[in-house]
Amino acid sequence: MRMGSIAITTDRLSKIYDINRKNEVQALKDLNLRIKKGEIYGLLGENGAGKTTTVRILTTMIKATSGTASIFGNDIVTDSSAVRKLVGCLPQDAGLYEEFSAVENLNFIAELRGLYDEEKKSQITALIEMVGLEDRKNDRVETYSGGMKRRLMIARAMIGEPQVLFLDEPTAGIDVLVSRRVREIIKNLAKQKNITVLLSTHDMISAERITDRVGVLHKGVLIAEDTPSRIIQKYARDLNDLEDAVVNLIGWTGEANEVSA
Amino acid sequence: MILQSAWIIAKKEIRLLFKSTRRILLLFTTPLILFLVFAITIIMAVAVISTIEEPVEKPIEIFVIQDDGEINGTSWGVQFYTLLKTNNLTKDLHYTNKNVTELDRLLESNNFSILLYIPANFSEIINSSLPTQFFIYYDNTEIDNIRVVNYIIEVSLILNQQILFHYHGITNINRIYSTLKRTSIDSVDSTITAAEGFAASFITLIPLYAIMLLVIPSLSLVLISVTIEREQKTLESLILQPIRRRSIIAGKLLYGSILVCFNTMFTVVTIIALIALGYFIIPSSIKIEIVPILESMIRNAPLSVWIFLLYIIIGLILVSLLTITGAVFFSLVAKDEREANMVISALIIIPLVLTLLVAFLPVEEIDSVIQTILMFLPLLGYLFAIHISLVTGEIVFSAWLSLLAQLAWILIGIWVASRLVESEGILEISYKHLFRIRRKD
Repeated sequence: MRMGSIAITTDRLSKIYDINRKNEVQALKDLNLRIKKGEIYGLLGENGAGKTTTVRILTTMIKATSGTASIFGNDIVTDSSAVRKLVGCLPQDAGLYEEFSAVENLNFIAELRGLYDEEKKSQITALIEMVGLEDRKNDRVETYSGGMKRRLMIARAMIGEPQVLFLDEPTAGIDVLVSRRVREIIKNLAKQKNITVLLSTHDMISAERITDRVGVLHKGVLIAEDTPSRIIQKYARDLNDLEDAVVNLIGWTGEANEVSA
Repeated sequence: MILQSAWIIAKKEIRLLFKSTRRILLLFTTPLILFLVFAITIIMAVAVISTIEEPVEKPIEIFVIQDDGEINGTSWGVQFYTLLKTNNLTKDLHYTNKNVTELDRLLESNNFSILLYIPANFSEIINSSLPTQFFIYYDNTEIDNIRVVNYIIEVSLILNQQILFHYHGITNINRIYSTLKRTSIDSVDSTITAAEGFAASFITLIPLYAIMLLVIPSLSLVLISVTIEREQKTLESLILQPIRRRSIIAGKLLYGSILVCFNTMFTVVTIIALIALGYFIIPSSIKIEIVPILESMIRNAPLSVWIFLLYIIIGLILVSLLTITGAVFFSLVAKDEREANMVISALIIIPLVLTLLVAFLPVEEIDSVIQTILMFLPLLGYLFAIHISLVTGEIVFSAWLSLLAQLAWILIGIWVASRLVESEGILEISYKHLFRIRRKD
């Protein structure tokens, strides 16, 4: 079942982690999202807010405790295989095969995604060019800088031309120059290929500059959702930027929960 | 679909293997060890041979005391001599008739190569099938007398008689004798049992060494391939791909199996090359002695020996798969290579050490129920079954069941590993949390 221009849908999505038999942690509570095709959606929030859990549920890595979600109409539980074909993901703590070159890393994933021969070759060439690694494409990844590795991971997530891209902290641990480069890549992806991007990040500059809309999570609850400019308008106090707005939002825990409810 | 993904993963592992010097060295451990052992053996052999003076070939004196009169034209002494002669064409055999009065003196002095004594009533006893004992064959040489001995034994078997031999390799002759006829020379029998028991213990160790040489390098490589996914954090991107998660397990198992096959093939080729090399190096005088013995061993091996070899090979294949499955499962749970190494080393070394103990334990002292339980254990069970088979002289039924048990352990291992990789906690799994993991799909 297709849902027109809606790429990602979640309905009352919840996740409870069973830390041990006595302790349960509610990582996500009744999350409702509607993300349009071609949209760059930023998921913001402090550590433990539920951003990574959301990404992991939507990429079929873990199961939600309750609620439903779908990617282009494909249920993430019942059509998990179809969902995995539609999505590309850059996980938060992802790694690469250090002894392989960029080409070999991409080659492996391409084969797993069912790409062969010319199609595989052309996609890899295009992606390496897109992330600017042509000069080093045959060097071992272990000789790459952190920023180069991050760019290669984005390329890897794009193998198989996914329609939805999940990026979990794509700019974490990289310098401002590389961060800017990564932002450009993400923006171009959405613009040129009409890809839907869900960007989970702490990087407020990235969120402010490249996202169409942002959702702010706090303790597993979506406490605000709007365009970055409107969020700033509504919640920023001293500095008139997204970071200030989010900090203020998270500060109003009690009130925020009411907003979400 | 699973097989296709498994092959892609296995292919990736093979490519990664050849990018690391450490892993390449591990892969070639067995052939390297074999070359090293062979080199040391050759150096030692050359050193020993150079100190030995080449013996001067002397004619082999065969004394025949034909005290028995010829009946129907059969001269047993001449007949046995002719057999020896035809079997040792390259050797210089001298035939000398001796008188029966010289028998005691000859035996006392022991100054002969071969003495054939045909007693006075030999033909009469044979013709009337009377039970008796003869000492007719005395051998101080190392020439090929197997056919003569077999012939004498066959005669004695037909006539229900015992014929005893004095021979430089008495155990060998008695083994042939006991193979053809389980007879009742008490003193000899007890010697065979003790020797056989000891031999069984040593033969049990052969598959043990085969496992250590052929499987352990592959096991270490599989272990590295799994733990590296976790250490380099590539497991997460792997499980995000549109493939069944259990194909990750299948891929690793396939990789391990390819390694074992490669290692076995390479080792066999190395052994053949070393044997060929050895054949050209060893002196021809030794070659003449060894080759007929080997030929005779292969020619005379009964069907049960070939079935036993088949049993060992099937068992080795199963045990290899079992250890590879174990490596995949336990390294999937381990947080890093060191932890996986510790756990797997313990799990492999304990059965191997136990086998060393079991191999030298008198089987009759182990209760039959415990014997059966031991045979059902992973890895140890197979080695214990071999030991029991060697001691009892046949592959017992529970030994075949032991093979089935090894297969069952493999399937259990694959099933648990598949469950584990499909569980949503796979990325955070550790030995601490192993029993709290929940399945994803």
